[in-house]
Amino acid sequence: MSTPAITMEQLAKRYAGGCVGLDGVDLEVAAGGFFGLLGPNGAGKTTLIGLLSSLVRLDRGRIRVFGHDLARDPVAAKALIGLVPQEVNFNSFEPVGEIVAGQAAYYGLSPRRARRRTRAVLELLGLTDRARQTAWGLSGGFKRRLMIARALVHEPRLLVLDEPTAGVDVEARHGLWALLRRLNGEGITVLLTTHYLEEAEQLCDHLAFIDGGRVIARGATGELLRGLDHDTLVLDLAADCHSAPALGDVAARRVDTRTLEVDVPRGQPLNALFTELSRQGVQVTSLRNKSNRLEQLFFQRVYGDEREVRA
Amino acid sequence: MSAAYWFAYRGMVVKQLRRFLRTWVQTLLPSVVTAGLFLVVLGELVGREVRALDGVSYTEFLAPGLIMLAVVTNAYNNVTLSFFGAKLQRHIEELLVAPLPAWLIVAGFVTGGVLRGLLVGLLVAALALPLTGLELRHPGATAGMALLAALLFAFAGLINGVFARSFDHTSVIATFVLTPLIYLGGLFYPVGRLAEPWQTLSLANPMHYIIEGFRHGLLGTSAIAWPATFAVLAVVTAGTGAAAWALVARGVRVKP
Ligand SMILES: Nc1ncnc2c1ncn2[C@@H]1O[C@H](COP(=O)(O)OP(=O)(O)O)[C@@H](O)[C@H]1O
Ligand SMILES: [Mg+2]
Repeated sequence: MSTPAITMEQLAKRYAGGCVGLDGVDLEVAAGGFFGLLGPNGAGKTTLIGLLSSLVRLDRGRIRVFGHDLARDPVAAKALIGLVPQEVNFNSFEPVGEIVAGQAAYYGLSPRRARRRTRAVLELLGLTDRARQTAWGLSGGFKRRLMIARALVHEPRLLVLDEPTAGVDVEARHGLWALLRRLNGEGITVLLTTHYLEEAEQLCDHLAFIDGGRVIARGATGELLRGLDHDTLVLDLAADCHSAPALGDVAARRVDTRTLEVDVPRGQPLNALFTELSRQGVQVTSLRNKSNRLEQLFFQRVYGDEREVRA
Repeated sequence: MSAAYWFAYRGMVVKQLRRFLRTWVQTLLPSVVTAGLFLVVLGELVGREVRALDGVSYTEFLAPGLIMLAVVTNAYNNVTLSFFGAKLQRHIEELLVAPLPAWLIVAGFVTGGVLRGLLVGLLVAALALPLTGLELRHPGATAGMALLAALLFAFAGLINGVFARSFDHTSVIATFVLTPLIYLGGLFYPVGRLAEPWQTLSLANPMHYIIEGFRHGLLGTSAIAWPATFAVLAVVTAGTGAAAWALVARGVRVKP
């Protein structure tokens, strides 16, 4: 067994004013893994990232990064981490290239290596043409790219991203996903936080759900999904339907006049469902699996029921 | 210092230099203009009416204090504003996440302040030179006093920057504490000529010793025992530096 990229033991953080940031979190992220930290706003994701990246003071607990204790050997531990924070945190009056090169120097790269790495990461993030521009004028998407370039400049073994796709358009999001997969394929461990469950399902091999400063579920993505006790199917109807049909142990909800959602218990054949629908005169024209299964799982874990979320 | 720390330190200092050189109209020029005005208006015009003080002309008497005024205010303001700016825009986080010990972060900010203080001090000296013919009686003591004063005020400026929550907080100490202390510390007149209680009060003003020590280095005149001044200044600087380090190491007003 290789040393885990991150080991967290009993992390606790209470902010001045009494707000609980984290309340006894244990977490392990395998080296080379792609780990997703999921949770609603205020769950404690940014607090956890802040503790890991030394931006927030730890009250209690222990963090190790590739075996280096962050409290006892901060220099060795910090050198291995690249952080992409949730909020912009560069000097907007500085040119893009100087921001990245400056961070390279802070991580102890020689001026020559810093120049070479700066060129490489600006190229990787499509920022080469903007190297001399001040960061102030960049669009939101490019600001995020700048922060990713900056995080990668010292070739970290662990890349930590706090909600990297919040407020990013679909195309940019897919571009970022491809980049993260590629970096992970090259051996970089990735930890990202998100409240887009689809993103976590697409990218991460392991997940932890966090809420109220506590981890409420964790495991391999596939296994967590298998833990779902039903599949939700979306049915498009041939004719208007004014109330959800009663379908026995299959719960049905009307989304709109021509759409139904049904929760089919795992392993139950669908034939009986369609027989019953036909009997009630409901004609189904098409059928798909509702994709945000993680959302269901999340609500199942958090609230113990399958409360619906509407986009 | 390991190579990695040296590169990091160099990176921090280069950024500090770029910042104040890029905005030289705001960072370098004002002190030079102020000192020039004092030298011409007070030294040359009013000074003609003043008899020689401590054996030198009034312009010569003024020059060391004006240079010191430039050194300490620039060192102080540079560090206060760059640290506060880094908090405000959050790029202080670039330093906090990096594998840097607190003393190195302090060194980076303070070096920026010291360099700006000494640079502006040199500019003021260059301006004063044709008017006064400064002699530089004790070059070592002059340089040492300028460096120590710049360091002390850079450390103090860092402490101000740590506690500042708004732009008001970055100027309040400089305007209401520093400048009065310097003006009342014997910049414009020999403290020994004051009546009591002003003379005794002036001797409690730390700026008095810095100005007198520096004047001694430049002109050879002095009202005080300057080796003792040097020693006390060194101790106070070390203490202020330790306080600045402790604040940065704990992340006061920086890390929640
Ligand atoms: N700097 C801070 N000071 C006080 N409370 C904070 C601070 N940062 C976060 N919190 C509180 O801690 C809790 C967790 O916040 P956060 O870690 O930002 O959650 P998330 O990133 O999951 O949205 C919230 O209740 C939030 O209000
Ligand atoms: Mg957050």
